[in-house]
Amino acid sequence: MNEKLWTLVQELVSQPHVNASDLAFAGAELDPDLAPVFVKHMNQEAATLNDPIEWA
Amino acid sequence: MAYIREQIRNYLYHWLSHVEENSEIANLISSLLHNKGKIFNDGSKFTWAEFYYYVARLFDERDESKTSQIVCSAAVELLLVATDILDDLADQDSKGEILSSIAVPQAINLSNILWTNGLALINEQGGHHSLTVAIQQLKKAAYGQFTDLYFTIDRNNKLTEADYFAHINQKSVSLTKMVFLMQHLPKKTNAFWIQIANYIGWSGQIGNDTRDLFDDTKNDLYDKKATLPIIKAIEASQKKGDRWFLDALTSTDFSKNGLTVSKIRMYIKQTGAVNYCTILSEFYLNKAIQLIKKYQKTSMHKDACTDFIQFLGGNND
Repeated sequence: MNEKLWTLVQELVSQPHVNASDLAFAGAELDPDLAPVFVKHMNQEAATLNDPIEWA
Repeated sequence: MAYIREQIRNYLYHWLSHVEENSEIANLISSLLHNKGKIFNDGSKFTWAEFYYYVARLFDERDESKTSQIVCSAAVELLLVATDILDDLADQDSKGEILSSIAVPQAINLSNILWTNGLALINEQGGHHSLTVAIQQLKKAAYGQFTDLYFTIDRNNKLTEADYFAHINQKSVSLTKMVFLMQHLPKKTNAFWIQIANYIGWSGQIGNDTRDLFDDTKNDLYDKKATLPIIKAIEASQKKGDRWFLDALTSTDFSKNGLTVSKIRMYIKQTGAVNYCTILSEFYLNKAIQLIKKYQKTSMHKDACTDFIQFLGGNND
């Protein structure tokens, strides 16, 4: 239902490093109402994103 | 804002002192109203009583309506405590606030007392329309609660995000709809207010489901409830062909192993499912606030809109 957002979040959490410009760039692909929420939240979470999952 | 909370509390103190000669009942109801998120708890941000009050004021700001609005707000609070009790009984949340302090037989009877009194108050003060709507929506929520018992993950999980939304529309969004539809809405505007009720209900349920996964007093994870963060984490794992998560989640005894519970929680976070759900929860709340601001531009009840927006945590920029 919110495919684009889900795809972007999954891409970001699988990257070892995410910075503010990556987020702003990714957010530009979203609905204009969704983008600021996405950028704000993911910026707050940026420090914990650098621990990608190890798939079994 | 605090003034309204005090008024609703004062009404409930008065009601409790007259509800029944048996003071044990009043004491137990009072203790339930002090639980997290309830009207007697000073730490509560969102309470159903205040939610009802601020919605009611959007449509009727007359001084003479205030008393009945306060009574109906209190009634909605009682009805929601009644549903909380049934939720915790159904989920066997014995470590939760309710069942850790009240025995099961007491809880069942208190729920019954709260239902009947809540509906009686709405009948007395809200009138026929409000009572009819309350019963309709509570019926939907009750059927939703029943199907919630079976809305769980199994080894061949096929549940999707769309299934989750269809499920919460019945289980919990019917309660936010109830609050709006109990008002005398101009017919043409029904769809507009239902959309706002949907957004608020989605935001609240997704937020609760996400928080509850990490709360040891809640059983959603152990009961394998198909909440949105779980559905999305499964989706992510299946996309990668990874069986570990679904196998761990559907193994019968994982709840006894603290290490597995921690690994499951960490895995859900690492898939991005928690981020996704947290973003969606805030996004839907913002959408509701945007619509109320739109209504405020042409509404006669501008102050009531401001109060409601503030109650929802928005600002009036």
